[in-house]
Amino acid sequence: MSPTTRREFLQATGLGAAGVATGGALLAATRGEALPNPKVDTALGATDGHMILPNRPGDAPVYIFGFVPVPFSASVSTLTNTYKGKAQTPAPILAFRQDTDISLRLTNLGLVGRPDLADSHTVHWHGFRTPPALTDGVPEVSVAVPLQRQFTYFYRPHDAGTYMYHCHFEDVEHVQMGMQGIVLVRPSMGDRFAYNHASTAFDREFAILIDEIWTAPHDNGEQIQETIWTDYDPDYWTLNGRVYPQTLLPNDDPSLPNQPISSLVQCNAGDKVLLRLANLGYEQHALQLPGIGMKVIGQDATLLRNALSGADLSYRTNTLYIGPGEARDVLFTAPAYSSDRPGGTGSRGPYNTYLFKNRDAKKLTNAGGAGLGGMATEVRVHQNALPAQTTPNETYA
Amino acid sequence: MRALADQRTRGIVVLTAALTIAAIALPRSAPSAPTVQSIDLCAKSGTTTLPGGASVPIWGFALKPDGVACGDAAVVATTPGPQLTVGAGDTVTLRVTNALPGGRTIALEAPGVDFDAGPTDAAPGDTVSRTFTAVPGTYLYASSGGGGRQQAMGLAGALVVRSATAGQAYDTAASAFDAEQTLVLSEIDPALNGSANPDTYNMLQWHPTYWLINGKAHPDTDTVDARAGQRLLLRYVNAGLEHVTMTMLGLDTRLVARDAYALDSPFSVVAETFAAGATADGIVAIPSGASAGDRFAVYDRQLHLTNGAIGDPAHDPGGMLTFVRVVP
Amino acid sequence: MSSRRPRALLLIALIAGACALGGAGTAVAAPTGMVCQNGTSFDLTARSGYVETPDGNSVFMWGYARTGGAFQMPGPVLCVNEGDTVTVTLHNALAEPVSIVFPGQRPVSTGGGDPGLLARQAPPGGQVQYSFTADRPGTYLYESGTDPAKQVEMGLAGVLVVRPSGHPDWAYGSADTEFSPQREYLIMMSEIDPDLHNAVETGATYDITKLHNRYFTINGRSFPDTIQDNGVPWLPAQPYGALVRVKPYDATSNPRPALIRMVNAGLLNHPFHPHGNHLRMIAQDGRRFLTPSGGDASSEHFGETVPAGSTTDMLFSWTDQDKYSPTNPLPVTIPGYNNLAFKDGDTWYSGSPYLGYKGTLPATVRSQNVCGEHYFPWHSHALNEFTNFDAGFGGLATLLRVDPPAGCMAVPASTKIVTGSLKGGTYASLATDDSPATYYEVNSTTVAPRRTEWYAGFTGVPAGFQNLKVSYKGRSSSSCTQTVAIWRWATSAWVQLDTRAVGASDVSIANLSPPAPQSDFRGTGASAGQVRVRIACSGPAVSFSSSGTSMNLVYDAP
Repeated sequence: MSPTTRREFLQATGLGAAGVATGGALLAATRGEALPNPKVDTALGATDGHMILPNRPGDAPVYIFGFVPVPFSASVSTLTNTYKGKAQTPAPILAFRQDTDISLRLTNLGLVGRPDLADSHTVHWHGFRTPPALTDGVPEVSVAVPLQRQFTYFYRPHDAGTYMYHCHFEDVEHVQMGMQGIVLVRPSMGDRFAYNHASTAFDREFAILIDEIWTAPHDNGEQIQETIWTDYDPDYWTLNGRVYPQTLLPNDDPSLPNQPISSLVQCNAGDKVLLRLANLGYEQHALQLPGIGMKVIGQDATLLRNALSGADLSYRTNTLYIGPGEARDVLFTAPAYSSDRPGGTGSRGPYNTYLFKNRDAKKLTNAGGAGLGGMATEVRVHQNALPAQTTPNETYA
Repeated sequence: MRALADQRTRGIVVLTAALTIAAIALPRSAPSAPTVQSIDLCAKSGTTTLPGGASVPIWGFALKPDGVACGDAAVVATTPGPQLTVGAGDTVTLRVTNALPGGRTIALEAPGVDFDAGPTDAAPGDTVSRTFTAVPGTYLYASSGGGGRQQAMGLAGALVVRSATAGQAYDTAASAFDAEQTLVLSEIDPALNGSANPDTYNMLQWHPTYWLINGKAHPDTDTVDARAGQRLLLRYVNAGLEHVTMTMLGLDTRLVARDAYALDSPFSVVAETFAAGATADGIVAIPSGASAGDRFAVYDRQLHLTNGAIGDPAHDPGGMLTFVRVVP
Repeated sequence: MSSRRPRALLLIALIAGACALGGAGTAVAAPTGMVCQNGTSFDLTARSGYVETPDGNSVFMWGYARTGGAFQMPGPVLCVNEGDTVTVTLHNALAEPVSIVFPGQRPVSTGGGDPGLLARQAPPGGQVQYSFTADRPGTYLYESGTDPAKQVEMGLAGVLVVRPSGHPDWAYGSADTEFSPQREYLIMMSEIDPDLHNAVETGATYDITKLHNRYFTINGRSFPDTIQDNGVPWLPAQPYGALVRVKPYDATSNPRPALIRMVNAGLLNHPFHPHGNHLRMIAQDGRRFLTPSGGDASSEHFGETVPAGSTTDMLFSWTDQDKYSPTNPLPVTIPGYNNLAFKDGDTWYSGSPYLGYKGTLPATVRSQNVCGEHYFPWHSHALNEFTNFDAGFGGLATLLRVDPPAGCMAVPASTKIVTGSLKGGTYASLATDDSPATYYEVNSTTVAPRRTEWYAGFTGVPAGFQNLKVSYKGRSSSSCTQTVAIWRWATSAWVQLDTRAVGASDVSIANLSPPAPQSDFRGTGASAGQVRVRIACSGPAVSFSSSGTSMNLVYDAP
């Protein structure tokens, strides 16, 4: 049964059954037993599609390139017939345990909207330490995957943390067009830690990919027009490929069929919440979460603790300043619920609302228009306890 | 302007809205015991005059004297708003009355300040009250209303909470200082400020042409005065939408806190980025051999050193530039 | 200041200036790595010139040149020692005042010149002098303090390096900042708006608030010019390359990291992303990251946004974690290269996944790879800066080159039997020591004197190689006297490298060094790049076979 939803895909990568915070897996870690070192086969197609943004003239969807999760062992023709044109953005959240042997098969399915374009694609695992050049995914110094061909990347990650992955073929275009995602590596200490250090324990995790959209090259790409990339001038600002208020919609929302990943953070009072932030835009961004203090415990897939002196380099902050190509691991403790704080109510009852948002008013618009939009989402602290999280970014209907 | 702590007596905080800068010699009086206090502010429209004489509409905070309505001409909005200075442990209630034109709601926020539970917004004409127990540090207070556009219009200011230890910004020896100055950084795009409706102004067209320190641009910026041998605390507050990289010549800055959190490992910088909305505290050691009259430039290293449009009076040199000046 | 001086004095001043810069201006720098102008007294002239961009543009620039020397972008790297009193005399060959500020140095005293907003400045045709004590080691910027938004953007910037006293191989004042002196690299980032430069060149007005950058540079060059050697003749105004070259970390043979001195001379913050491994950030603006008690507070980064006007020092090691090789292969099947794409038919890929090995690429693909080194791009992750105007894979980028630890390795591409006959195997059997799996086996002659003699041919050995070593592992069915020899093209003769008895057990002979000049052993002309190694065995009274399981050459690439 091929995975068709983002959640199912994560289970296919070997995580679901093996346990994300099921009692068994966590107990194994605390008893000091090594977690299993699985071999994981996973696969992506590279193709095109469309995403939806508000304030578009004529409500036109936005042409994208992207990855799509596909079965590992299907033939190229089967994959093409089933998945060509079904790109999603961002790409699925990949999660592995450290020291896993990962085979990631990339198939270039071709582009429905541009049958004339013979672009190849690659996967670059951004921040991976000391890969061979062949598996680093940079076409000019290794290989690229042409139309209707496949290449299996191999990774054995030894270092826990939050990373990104993206296409590196003509990357100024392909990354902006949507071929980007987050990959995280779980420490051997257990799936409920960000790093191999007890201070990085969390209850819930949310992977949030930061980006901008400059719609001109997307429209140009669809219309076979060239783009001068040094004119870069974005008009939308996104979290996980969506703008506010769509950032609040649940995972796999039917109104956003190719933008399946939510940025809504739902938690209970006292929860330790881990935000895995990554920036694959071309601008530096500052985000704030007024009302909740944040602690940066990891940066660029490295625990903020100096290995030489043991110095604790983690820091508290109210402003997350993150540049292109960087990642941050942020912990906060959800405050107590109070009916006197702003909030709302939904299918799970009442909650307090804290806005996690960009500091730049321009980046809180959709195409510069009125009203709150853009790079913002909500942290909701629920009065009635939500169940334990079973996958990253889990949303509750 | 004498530093604010000079005038602080038990139970009363006397604030000034003056923007001139002179940061010499804080007296080493012991801080008072924590107090309970309220600070009344208005959010209203006003104007600011920029180098070359340009007068630009703004929205800003103003102190609201007892018994005086926000609409009174004596209540003058400034950008940045008045610096609010309180003491560690004080229970402070900020009461902001919304006198903005055009039926807009304001939303009071101050990242890092742990406000008590309660409403955060004020409808037109209403007053929002937010209470907190003050923790030492340098903070930004602002209205986040209008999707951040109200802050772009100037509705922001600095909040300083003094440490219980005199002459120290935080609970760390590294934060000891002899003189201090708050530097609020911001920008203005006169096209937004002068637009018929800032809430519907196309923000993709927002391109600032003025870059300000405490609401002024060179050559109108005020110097930061200190004596030779003093440790000068610079409290940076980025009230703007853009990240600012500040640099200085002849001095370096020892960063001891960011966003009102003391750093475990302070570090020294010459040029450093202060992200939009962030604050930072840095100690500058004025050389003991410096002579009165020596000047050390402090400026935006993204080199926004012009005012207004090309051809405007006072266009060049201008911008986000001031000097630390050694005084006798 | 009058420009008329007695001729003799002017000449002396020029010579003194040249000497103070540590040697003749035409001294040849090493091909890669930071190029220092050593000294304590420097004489610079602000002047104009042109730089080349990879898309064929020629851009009018201003820069600090060594007085009497050619225009250069960026200015010379001034290298001094901690505690030096540094004097910089600035002459102005431009039509507007110019100056230098030295962020991070204090205090800077000046002589001559006119008052300026940020620093005393030299009027057109005039000069000004600056002096300071370089009391703190580190990496620093020097740049114009006059109308800086325009003048710094026009190119008036350079780098100052202060070495800790007594320890030129430390970045700062303690041994934990030691680095490999052969691996010291400068990455100075900036941007160019060609419209501004054109306006300055033609005297037109230009609105500096409408800056629109089209080119992004490291050390004054845009990729791929950044990976060319220092001082390449076709970039006369841009003398500094930015290729970073390392060998993998090894606790005994290569324990010290490379030092990357990163400087942002531009007006924009730049987010720098190294592929291949993290960078360890040890200092900013010449100030080390330390805990209050003096412990290390450095941090590792796969992305670092360097603020405009800031510098940062990074230590870098490539620590091969898994050491994939032909005997420890990647556990995936790699498709035939006819099913993969090589961008634009031109690649830095070696054709083999493994460090130190080359493979066979399709005939239509040209490879720049020398001997199986890995290449990784280091570039701005504001990908609009990873361009040359409108062409991708350009701009603010360079390459990391990871050389094989033993140097380049070549394996046989052919074999020829001189005496005897083929028993089994091919040249490919000699590629790896995978005994007992594959051997190249030659039967001896069947009548006395029984003998085997065969040679393997290697191709693609570059001119300028050094430290050639030959290794062979093999055996013989009957004990024989085995010689290893290498063909000297210059005299058309075999030169013996080793002789010994070899029997039924494999004998491994490693790292035989042919005598100097080793260039004699590399073919030229029609045989360019070829090396031949011969194995001969003789002695047994019975017919025998001589078998080799592996043969290779290692050498250091030029």
